[in-house]
Parts: sequence; C-alpha cells; structure tokens
Amino acid sequence: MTARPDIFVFLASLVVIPCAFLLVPNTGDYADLRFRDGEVMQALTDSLGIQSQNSTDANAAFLLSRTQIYMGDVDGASRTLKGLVEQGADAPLLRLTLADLYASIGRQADAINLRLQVPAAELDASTRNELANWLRYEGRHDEERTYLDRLDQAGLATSVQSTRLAFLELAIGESDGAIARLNAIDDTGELHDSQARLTLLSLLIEADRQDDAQQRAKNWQSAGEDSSFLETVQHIFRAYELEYETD
Amino acid sequence: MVNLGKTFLRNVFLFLLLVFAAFPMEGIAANENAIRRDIIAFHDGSHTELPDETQLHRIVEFPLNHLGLSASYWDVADGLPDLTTARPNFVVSWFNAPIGNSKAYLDWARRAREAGTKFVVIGHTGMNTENTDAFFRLLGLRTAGYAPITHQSSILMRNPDLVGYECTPDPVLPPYPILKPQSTEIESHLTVTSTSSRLDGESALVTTGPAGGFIASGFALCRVPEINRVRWLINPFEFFTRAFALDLRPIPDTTTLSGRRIYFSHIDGDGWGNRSEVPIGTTRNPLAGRVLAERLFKTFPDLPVGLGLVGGELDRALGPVHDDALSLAREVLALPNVEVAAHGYSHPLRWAELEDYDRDAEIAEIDAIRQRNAKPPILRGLDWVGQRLQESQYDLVFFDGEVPRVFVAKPFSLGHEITEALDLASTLAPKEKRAQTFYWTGDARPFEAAIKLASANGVTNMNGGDSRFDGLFPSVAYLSPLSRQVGNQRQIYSGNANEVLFTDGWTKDFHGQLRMLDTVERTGSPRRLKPYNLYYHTFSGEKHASLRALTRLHKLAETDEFIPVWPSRYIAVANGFFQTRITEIGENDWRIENRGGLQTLRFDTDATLYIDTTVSTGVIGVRQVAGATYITLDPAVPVVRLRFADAPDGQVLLDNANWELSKVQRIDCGLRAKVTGFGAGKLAFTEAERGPWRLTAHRDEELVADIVAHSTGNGLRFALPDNLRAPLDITVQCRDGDTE
Repeated sequence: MTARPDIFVFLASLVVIPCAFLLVPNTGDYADLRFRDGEVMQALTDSLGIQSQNSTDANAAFLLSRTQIYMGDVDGASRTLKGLVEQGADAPLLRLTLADLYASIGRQADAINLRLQVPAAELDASTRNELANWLRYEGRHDEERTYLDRLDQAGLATSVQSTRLAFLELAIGESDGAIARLNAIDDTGELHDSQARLTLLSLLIEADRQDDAQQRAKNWQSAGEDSSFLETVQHIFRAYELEYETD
Repeated sequence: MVNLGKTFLRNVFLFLLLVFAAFPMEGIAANENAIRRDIIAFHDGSHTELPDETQLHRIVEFPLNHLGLSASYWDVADGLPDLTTARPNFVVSWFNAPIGNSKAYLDWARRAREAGTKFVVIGHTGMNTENTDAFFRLLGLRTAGYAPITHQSSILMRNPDLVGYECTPDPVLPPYPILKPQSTEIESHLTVTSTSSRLDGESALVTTGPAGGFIASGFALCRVPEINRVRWLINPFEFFTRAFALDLRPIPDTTTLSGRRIYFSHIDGDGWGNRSEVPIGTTRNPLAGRVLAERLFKTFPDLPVGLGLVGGELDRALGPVHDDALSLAREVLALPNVEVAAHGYSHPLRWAELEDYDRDAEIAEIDAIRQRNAKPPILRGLDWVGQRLQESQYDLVFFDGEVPRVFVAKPFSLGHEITEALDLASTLAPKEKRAQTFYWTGDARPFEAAIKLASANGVTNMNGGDSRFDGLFPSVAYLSPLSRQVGNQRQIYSGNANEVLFTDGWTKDFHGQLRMLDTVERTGSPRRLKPYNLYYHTFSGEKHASLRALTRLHKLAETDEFIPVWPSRYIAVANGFFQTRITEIGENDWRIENRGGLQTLRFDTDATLYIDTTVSTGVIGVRQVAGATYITLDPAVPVVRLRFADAPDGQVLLDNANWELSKVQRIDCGLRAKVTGFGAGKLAFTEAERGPWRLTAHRDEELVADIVAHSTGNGLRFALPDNLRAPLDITVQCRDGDTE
C-alpha cells in the first residue's frame, strides 16, 4: 500500500465535502422543492415556519406568497407580498408580482399604482403601453402625461405614445412643445395618424410656418395619402385663406 | 329573389312582433293604452356584421332591456320594414359608415317619423354626403360643417345627468360634426365650442328631442382600443329614458323575485372525470366532480345548482371514461339541490361551423392535425403514460380547438348533440327528475335549428353573454343583454361570465372568479342590473384556488340579499320578459298578462308607491331597494291588475323573502299563501300595523310552525326554524289585543 491513494482521497474530499455542503438544500430550498414537486401544503407549512423564525427572509416570504396564491388565499398572499414591499425589498419583480395579483382580483387601480413605481426601463414595451393606456382609460390624464413624458425622456416612447403626449400637451395649452414633438415624430416618418397630421398643419400655419406646413403636406402626399385626406388638407389651408400648392 | 323572400319573411315576422307588442291577448278598450316595448335595432349586414356582433347587441341592448325594451335586429342591407303593416315605436342605429341604400332609409325614416316613431342615432347616421343634412333635420338638427381637428375645441356645456356617466370626455376630443338645434325642443346635453374663427361656433353633440336622440361619433363611449376597453360616457339609462320619453311605468324585471335579488348557479360539466389536486378524505386525487359534490353541493345544501353533464365524458364509445364517473353522476343528480341539465354530447366549440356539417371534411381535418402533430413513437408513448397518470380523458380527444367540437368519434347530428344528451342526463337522474335545460357549449352561439330542437325537447336553454362588471371590465358596457335572438328562436344568456374568462382560459389565476364579488356588488347597487349567477365548470373542482373562490362565492349567496332559485326558474323569468304585455288602463292603473315565469315589475323611482289592494289583483308585495320599487306578483294569477293609491290602505304586503309566495289570499288582517323555496324561510312584510303578528305554517294540514313576531313600524320579519323546509302553507295574521 502506498500513500498516493490516500492523498487522492484527501484531495478529492477537499473538493467533494464543501460541494456536498453547498448542494444540500437549506430549509427554504426544501420548501421551494416541495412546492415545485406539488407538495404545496408541506411547502406552505415550511415557508410559514421559516417566516416565523425570520420574518425578513425575502425568499421564504416570496415562496409563501406563491403557495398562498396556489391555495387560493389571495388576501394572505397580498399581505405577504405587500409586507415584503414595505420592508424595502424593492425588486421590480416583487412589485410586478403583487400588481399582477391585484389585477387578477380586480384591484386594477392598485395594480396600476404599483406598476408606476417600477422604473419604466424594467418593464417590457407591452406593459409600458398597457400602463399608459390604463391611465388614459381611468381618466388619470395628468399622470398619463407625466408617464408618457418619462418614457419619452428615457427614449422608450413609441411614436404613437409621443403623438398622444403631444395631444395631451396641447390640451393644457403647451402648443410650442406639441409642435416640436409632432415635428420630431414626422421627421422620422412616424407621424401616421391623420388627425395628428392635420393638427400639426394647423399648428404650423397658426405659428406662421406655412412653408413648413406646405412641405410636410407634400411629403405625405408623395408618400401616398388618400384623396379624402388631401381634400381635408386643402380645406384646412383654405380655412386660413391659404392655398395648398400641389406639385 | 332570395333577398326579396327574406325581406318578406322578416316583414311578416316584424309585423307579428309589433302587432303582439301593441295588442294584448284580450284586446284593448278605447281608453286603454298598450305599453309598447318593441324596438328595431338597425344594423348593416353588408359589413358582414351578424346581429350579435354589433355594438348594438354587445353594448346597447343591455340598457334597453333594463328599461323594459325588447330589441329586434334588422339588416338594412336586406331592405327596410314595411311601414304599411306595422309602425315601430322605437328605432336605434349605430352605423360606422354610410349604408348602401341611404336614400331609401331616409325616406323610410321620414315616413316613420311622421307616424310617430322615435329614433336614437348613435355615431354615423348611415347617410351618404348627399342625404346627411336631411337626416339630421329629422332629428331636429342643422349641419354647419365639420371639425376635423379639435385642439382649439373645448366643452362649453355638459349635462352631468347624461354625460360623464362612467368616464369624462378625453382631453383630446375626436373630430366632430357641427350641429345646431333647430328649435328649443331640442335639448343639448353636450355642447362643444371652438376658439377657431374658422369653425362655426358651438356644436350640440348629444341631444334629445321630440324625434328621439342623437350621440355623435366618439361621444357615446370612452374608448381605448389599445387595451380593448370601453366605458359609457353617456348614461345610457337616462339617455334612452329621455330620448324615447319613457314615462314612469311598470318594467318587467328579471333580477328579482319576492323582492330579493335572484341567485342561481349552474355548471357546465366539462372535466367531470378529471383528477383534482384537492384531497377528499383519504383520497388524494379524487375526481373533480367528487370535490364539487362534497365541498359545494353537500356543504351548501340550501343553494340550488344546475348540473349540465357532457355526454361525451360519460360515454365510452366516445373516449375513456373513469369507472367512478357514471356512478358519481347518478349520486350527484340525486341530490335534492341539484337540477338536471345537459351540456352537449360531442361538445361543439364553434356552433356556426356545424350548421352545414360534413363528416368527411371533419375526418380529413382530424387526419391533417394528427399528421401535423405526429411525434416519434417514444414521445407518443410518454404522452400516453402521462395521460394515463393524469387521467384527464378530456385532453385525449381535445384537438386544441382546431376541430369545432371535442368528441369526434361519432358524426355530428343535432339529435345526438341535444336530444341524446338530454336523454342521457335524465337517465342518470332519479325517476322523478328530468333534464330541464340545455346549456350551450363552446362559443355558445347556436344556430336556429339547434335552439328549436332544444325547445322541441321541452327544455329551456341558456349560456353565452359573458356578463361581467369588475375592476378589469369596469363598465355597464360589459353586461350582456338578456338573450340572443336567432331567427324565430331565442337563446337566454347566462347571468354572468364563468371562470374561464377570469382565468385567462383556465391557464392561470385560478382564484380569478373572485372578481365575481366585484361584479355582484356593482350589478346590485346603485341599480339592480343583473341577478347573481354563479356559473362555472366541473374542472373548477380540480384546483385549491378555484375551489376556495367558489366557496367564498357560495357564502355570499347565503346572505339575505338573495333568493336562491333553480337555473330553469331564472330562464322562465327571462323568457317571461319578452312575452309580458302591459296595458295602461287608467291613471296609475295597469293590466299585466302573458308574463310566463316573470313575477316582478319594477318602477324606476325611489318615491314611495302604495298599492291599492282593494282594486289590484295578483299583487302581493312591494319593496323599495336600489333606487327602485319592486312589485311582487302572484304566480297563480295569470292576469294582474296593479293600481296605486295615494296612501297605504293598511293591508299587509310582502317586502322580501327567500321563498316564493303563490295563491295568496287576503284574510282578516293578514294573508294565506303557499310557499316554495330553498333553505330556512325568512319572510319580511310591510304595511303591517304595529303589534304582535303570528305566522303559522302547515304541511299537509299538519301544523309545523307557530311563530309570533312584532311589527315595529319598520316592518315585520319572520325567521322560520332551520329544520323547516318549503313547500308549506302559511298564514300571517295580526293578533288584535295580544299583549305578548
């Protein structure tokens, strides 16, 4: 017998034993595994136990909320998730999970408020769009304008959202800002809404920028706008006692 | 020729409809006035809209029903109704564009107006440019241009009673026509003005007047298409009341019996044999149907429920059936609080595709799907094992909705689908029970022959509609009308949506039906708009979360707001709405007949109304609740006379009860009645003079209860013993001189 195998065993144990310790699940992991394995009642009991020992264990609380939702205890899950948020656990996922839970039980206003607290960049484009439109639907137009402005400043606003922002600015009398915004959208070729185009024309004419108005109208015409739209364009020019000069 | 024939038949149908609406069965005396409840809803079929796809059906018909009106749909592309045979009382339209025959429609409207028809026009008039001015003149409006851009426009005047119901106008106004009222008779409820010198000043965009009413495009609803949501900008109840000049009158009401809000529950039996994750006793994964039986049907024995089983789930010729599924069905259908119904045999998913059924085409489609989805043998084996473990036979035959029905082993036929499904349900039930109702499957859009066959089987029919009114759908616009008319047949819609709509197609948020709590609250107050219909599928018994939600919803149904009834009872009420005839026979005096199962009239007033019991017949109760007065009628009295008095006449009347009263007889200082219903009786009376009152109850002439209660001036209430169940004969009588 030589000592070499013992050295190998010793060296191997240096690696294997810590790994084994690392791989052995802790109580929270066990609860999570049980939840995934369908042992929901046991997972619920485990996570409640962890919570009672350490109420700030965010992972356990999150698992608890999942088991509560699974069991249909939405009030309990709401309390658990809300507690986590109030403890300062500000992971966007947490707020969005709570927001989704609120929405699923019809507490849409609470869901909207929570989603508003999440940085816009953390939301996908679809959720951002939905959020802005829910603000509109709920008649929260000041907040809608503020939110769209946030998106715009972060470079996240779509052309449709920027157009809506311009209209909301117009509604509060900020016509200069609206003109600049609509012009910018049109410059990128993204101003497709006919009412927005006509409004921009009118604003430009009223701002004594008839040439700019003429040019933009010509651009739209050459891009294939239909005849009824062009009739309306001519009507608007005539209303200002101007002539729309077609090529 | 085809169109001519179709128009002729529709004219005949409309003629009969209007004649029956105008004239009650017994004829009308010269000084009597039949209350017309018919309204023609014009739509344009050339844009391929079926009646039930129109905004009129989905959004407008519900408030019309609530006001007592019954809509008939007319496709203007098929021609126009013949005014020489019958004149419609009311017309409503909601076109999106000019219709093909706008000149003919204008001429028709002129003649109808001359005869007194009132029009409500929402959105586009349907006129081409040439006829638009003339049509607006009919409505008492003059056109003065169009505002294609609105940044210089603002709201000058808004009548808050009519405009701003569920939302306020968007700060960005849509383009609008400039309309001027032609006379002082035209009342504007929303006037917009513009600071632009290029527009002709003010425009009346929501108006009512002698001709009816008008709502400009974009001003009926607040619409956010990006999230597919709408809300009523206009108060539809107030608007239609004013536009059609609907005076205070009895409205057939479908929400209420015995003064209480109707509760009924029904179940589509999909997933009857699926395994549940909810243990029952020592059984770790019982059948979903077993879970419902133990945790709901038996736990809430005082709440009736209709169970419509799917034939295909119980027929081994169509697919695997769990050994216990049939015995469980027999056991459950024998429960005293379970009503027998059927939910199809092969379970159609899209009915329209089955109207011209072709078995060969179906088989070819199935083969194509099988080939497309073919997997290697090893995966197919794993699938087979997985399905056996799951024991969810539904999945074995469900081609992901690609085929328009679920169980495809046998060819489709209406007889198999409806008659045999009803027969199977009745066979599984005890002898004294028969199937009462057919619950439509899938998209719940049956074609005319299907509804006709259900009726021919002697059963009622229901489903569809998907009403909800909650935080995610916070508008009356999401409440469905009472029914869907298909040719000469009528399909009654369910009262509320089922759990599939709250759970994203049963894929997540299995607790989602809790949102029904919100719907029930919003449809109960400030107006009582809908009954409480707890509607779900058997597969709701599979999940802890759905079962918990259902338990909570059952507990709500046990509260004193509701009267629990069979689903078929509600359907009889809803059918009664359409056949009820009301005749005004004097001042505050009406005759009501042919009402079928409908036993409540509503007056939309919170003023106190007193029944003249010396003249009225068949009137047994009155209750003020939810801003209205509900009059309870006696089911045993086919022709009712209702007259109001200026003051109470001292006769005791039913205020509310969780039971129905019939054959009510007035006796000295009290009444006798037969009572039926669920649970322990709770009866409240009004107009009872102060002092002690006695209620005695008999069953088969044996005294089973003798209760004394005191009338305090705020009503008289009796609570019968918990162990005493209807049917009973009761006597309620004051006890003069009793000092108890």
